[in-house]
Amino acid sequence: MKPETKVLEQEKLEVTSAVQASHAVLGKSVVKKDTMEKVRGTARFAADLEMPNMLYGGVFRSTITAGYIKSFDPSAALAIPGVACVLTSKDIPGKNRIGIILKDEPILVDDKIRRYGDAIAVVAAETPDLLEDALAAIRVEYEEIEPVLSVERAAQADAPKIHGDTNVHQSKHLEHGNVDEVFAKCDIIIENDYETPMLSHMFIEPDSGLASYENGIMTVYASTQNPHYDRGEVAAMLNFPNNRVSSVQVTTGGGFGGKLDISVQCHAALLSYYTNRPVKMVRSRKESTMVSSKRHPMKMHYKTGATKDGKILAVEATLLGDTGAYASYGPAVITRAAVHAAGPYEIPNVRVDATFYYTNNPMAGAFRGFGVPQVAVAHEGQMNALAKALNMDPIDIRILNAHRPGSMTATGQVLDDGVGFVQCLEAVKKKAAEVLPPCVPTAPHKRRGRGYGAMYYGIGNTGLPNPAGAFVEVLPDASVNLMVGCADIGQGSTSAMAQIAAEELGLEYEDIRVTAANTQVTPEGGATSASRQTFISGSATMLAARMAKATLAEVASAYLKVPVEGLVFRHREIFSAADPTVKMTYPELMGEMKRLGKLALGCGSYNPKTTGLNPADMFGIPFEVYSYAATLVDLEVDTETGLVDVLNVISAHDVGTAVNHQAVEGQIEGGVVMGTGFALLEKIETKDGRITNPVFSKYLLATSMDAPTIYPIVVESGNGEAGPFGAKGVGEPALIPTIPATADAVENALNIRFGKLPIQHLDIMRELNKK
Amino acid sequence: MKPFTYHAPRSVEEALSLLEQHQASCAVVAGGTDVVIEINEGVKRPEHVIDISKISELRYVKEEDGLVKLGALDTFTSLERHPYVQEHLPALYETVIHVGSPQIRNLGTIGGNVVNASVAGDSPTVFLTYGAEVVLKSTRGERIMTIEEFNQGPGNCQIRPDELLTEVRFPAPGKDEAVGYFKIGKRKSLAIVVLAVSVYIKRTADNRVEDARVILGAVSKHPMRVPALEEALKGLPLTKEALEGTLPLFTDAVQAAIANRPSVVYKREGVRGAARRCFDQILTQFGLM
Amino acid sequence: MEQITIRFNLNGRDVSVQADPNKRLVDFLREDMGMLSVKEGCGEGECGACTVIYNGEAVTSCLMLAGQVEGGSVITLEGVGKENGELDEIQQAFVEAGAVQCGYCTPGMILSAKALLDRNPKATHEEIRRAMSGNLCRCTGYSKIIQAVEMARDAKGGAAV
Repeated sequence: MKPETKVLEQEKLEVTSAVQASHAVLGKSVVKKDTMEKVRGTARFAADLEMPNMLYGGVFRSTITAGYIKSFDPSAALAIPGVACVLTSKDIPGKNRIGIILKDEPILVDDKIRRYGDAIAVVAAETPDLLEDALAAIRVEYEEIEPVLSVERAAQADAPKIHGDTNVHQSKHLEHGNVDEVFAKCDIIIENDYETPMLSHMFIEPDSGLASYENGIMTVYASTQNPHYDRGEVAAMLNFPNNRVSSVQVTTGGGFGGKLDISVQCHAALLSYYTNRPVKMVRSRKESTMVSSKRHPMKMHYKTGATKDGKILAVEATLLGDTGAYASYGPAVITRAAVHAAGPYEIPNVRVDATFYYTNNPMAGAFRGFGVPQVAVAHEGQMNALAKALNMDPIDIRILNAHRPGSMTATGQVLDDGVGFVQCLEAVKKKAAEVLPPCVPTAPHKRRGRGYGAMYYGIGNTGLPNPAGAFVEVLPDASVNLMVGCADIGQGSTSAMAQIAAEELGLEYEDIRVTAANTQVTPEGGATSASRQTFISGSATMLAARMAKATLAEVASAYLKVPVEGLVFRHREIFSAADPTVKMTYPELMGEMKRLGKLALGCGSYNPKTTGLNPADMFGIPFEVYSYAATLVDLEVDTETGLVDVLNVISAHDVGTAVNHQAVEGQIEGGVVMGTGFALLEKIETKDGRITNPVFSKYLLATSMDAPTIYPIVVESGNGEAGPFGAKGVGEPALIPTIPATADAVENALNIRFGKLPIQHLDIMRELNKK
Repeated sequence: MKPFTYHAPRSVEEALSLLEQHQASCAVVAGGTDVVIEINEGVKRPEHVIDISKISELRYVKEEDGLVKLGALDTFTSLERHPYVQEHLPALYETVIHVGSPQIRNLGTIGGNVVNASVAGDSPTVFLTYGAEVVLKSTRGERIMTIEEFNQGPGNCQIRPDELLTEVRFPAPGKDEAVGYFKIGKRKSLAIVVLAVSVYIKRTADNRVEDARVILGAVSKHPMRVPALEEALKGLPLTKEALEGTLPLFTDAVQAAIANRPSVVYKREGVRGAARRCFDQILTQFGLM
Repeated sequence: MEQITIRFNLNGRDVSVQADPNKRLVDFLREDMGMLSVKEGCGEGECGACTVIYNGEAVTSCLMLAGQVEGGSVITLEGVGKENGELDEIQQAFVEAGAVQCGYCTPGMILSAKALLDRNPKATHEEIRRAMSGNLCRCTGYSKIIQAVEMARDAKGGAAV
């Protein structure tokens, strides 16, 4: 049976869908658990931590991009009273290589310098001022070698090698159907190049942390998206068993993928290990932006073949990416980019060739979407070009090609019922008719344009195991302790977990206290990435709650004389589905549990049902579920200044089931503004491998005056049986479709094709004056 | 931050004597929006910091003897809210409302903006258009200098180490004078000047251009006058068509000024849009549009 | 280096403190006064996370020296909220609108909103957007933040009719 798909619009919150009506807690716009402390200013971030006897740690970094250290002299630094120590790679007792997928990044340089800002030494001092003095007093001599600064250079046989004996980081080949044969039969072929820039996450809180080594236990408090990974890297560095390292996430001021890599964790831990004192490290904005990962810049060539009616028959894509000096999440980005390269469309013939190179550029890694934003620029650019060439409505042509329940993806996966893409497209069209004024400019020197974008996004890691766990204990007063590994970085996972646990247990949201992302208390949560936590940690939470509930149900069943299957847990009551007057309250149930000497405990873990991908053609089931989205952008371009004013954005997202409606809207709205920034404003600039705009005055984010009016639309496809109550994910999908839609709107306003992002005022004026 | 001795004089006199005493190594903080960053990052390492923000006598807007006089410590916000600025100095108003952010406008002062002389500074351009002078004081006396003489580019304004800029002043515009200002920034807030155009026009009784000044901001190391344009404007009737006939000359001026810089490709085009809007403002002020 | 005495009003209380003069206001408030709600995001006045209200106006405390607040008044988020411990209208509106995600920009946002509404209780939508434009947020897209400030304005009885 196909679940009915519901479309919930912002202003119609009170019109609850059948999905919502069946839930007691889920779908409600509850106040997130951390909101109170954040509006009172009592939330403590890493930089706010203080410990008695604390030292301040900092990093001495390379000021060359590629080469070797000829000499290193810390003596002047060590001579400064109040400087506790200067440590180099030689001081690392265990492993000096870190990396979420490939261990190729040194904690402290031991062989060669591969990027500007590589960590050479760490320093601890009594005060921040002394630390600054010490860092300035260290002397180093370098032997520079030719830096490899482009993928083109990296690919040449005589280029210096960044790691090992090839600069090819990874390459992927996806083959589905017979592209060559089908192109010959197509009525129309669209062929274009696309390019997307290196971008910076620009979370507002710079990376920070504190490490404290006491009684043989290393505790690391950090601003992080993945405390369990941090634990493993710190333990390996110190040669400790994992259980001698405690990794605790503190309130984290945004991440977007940029706090998935190790930042200060290992450096602070090493300093604390040697000094036996707590060590705090707070990065400056500049340092944070210089060395945290970046979005992979990509060059893409696309060839799309279709019938004259607009049905796409074949897509061929070549993707070229620069992963910079270290792998970070590069392998995940290339795999996901290849899998999603053809977009959310049923296309029987697809070929993708993707190659990522190592260079001496800044390390590229995870950034909201793992390569999907980049390929969406291309697959949507192609779709818009096709619609124009065939004079078709951009929504209609997408509906014609859209994934639907039962469609087959480019990896040969047959989709189940949870596909709400057509509903997203229809919802955008309907909303546009309701709210958008006629597409006419507000002044003679302006031109107005509307653009379209769409995406699909697999939830969780691509074709790889990525489990998460949860522990639940229902306490004697019917309040609950829920322990989840999942790191909340502001998106609201902690509150989503509480809603899921409350729903499953038949309690209220307020009854659930969540302890999250503390490796001494919580089970593995995996990374807060890949839009996976609602789905995976949410499933684990549901299962943990279900286990605790099984014990409760047994006791309630005996007490109420109702079979377990006939019991309903809801709103702090347990009653018979057949006769709701046969009931008991939760406190009564807990009293009964106490009398019988039983504890209501549960643990759960969930690993998405996927398969590995066949290395030859990438066939397989990389994801259990996919989120879908469609976006319309309405904007104006000033033809005299080249400045773009984004006026309205309508963005519809199929999230399966919205756990917290307001929080889903918040994700969509944030994604929209980041998406317009991607398309119009943002770009990391480098010179000889060094980032020249690592600050907010030079890397521009949209301000409140630049942000458009946003119409978020939440589509609930119900999503069959997968996920907690059918929930998928929205964190990264929120960003993606706005990017191509914004580019399309500018192109439509001006009737000029750009293809290369960002489209800045300079580019617009250059093209306008070419005409 | 390196240690320094902090002074907070309450009067100009007190400030001048401190400046005289510590001129060898001192930094003056007014709004602090630039200097505090430089001190914090170690770009500047003064032994003495003279915080002049408490000198209330340097906060004023007045018209005196046909001159508009602005105290050096007037913040952008105070000017934005000042009725005199709102009514009589529309181009200055247009300038100050587009500086930085609300927080920057609340702190930043015109004195600091002028002394800092950043290429992308906001107010020096419009002050040049108004034909402004600066008043520089020291224990040795007072110097008055046109802003054109004063501003020789970033870090090269003609202030002596013992001097304090106390006032910016310019002739109060009459009813036959109008000034326009238009700034292009990359976003609507927190934007530095990519390019600014400011135009002064004095009209004749029959609505022709009697005199003109044209200033381009952020195309040179300091706001740049364009004499060729000023000549071209003279005598033109005050109509949109006639004024806009000079737009190609704006492009020529930018092209000539920064022919070899990559930014010329944008600025030589953008300058016409900015200039056109200056003309619109001027025509509006004259009630001719 | 000589310590200086700074007398000022912090969150409604007159205080007199010995402090190093070579500190920015943000460091002084965090380190000497324990006002940890004041966040540093950039150190160049570009993100607004360190916004406090100084003499009634929103300012970025990373651009001020500690000594500059002598004789003035400073409000941080610790000083916002009602005397009985309840949230004030702006905080309450941020909660209800769902205007908080990571929370790092939140203290500065609330203080920019307060500085505006204290001076201009009937601020329009556009005035609110402008008043908040020195506070960067990377999470929310500003939509619910602007909505929250409008809700707070209305709750305070300042709705423009």
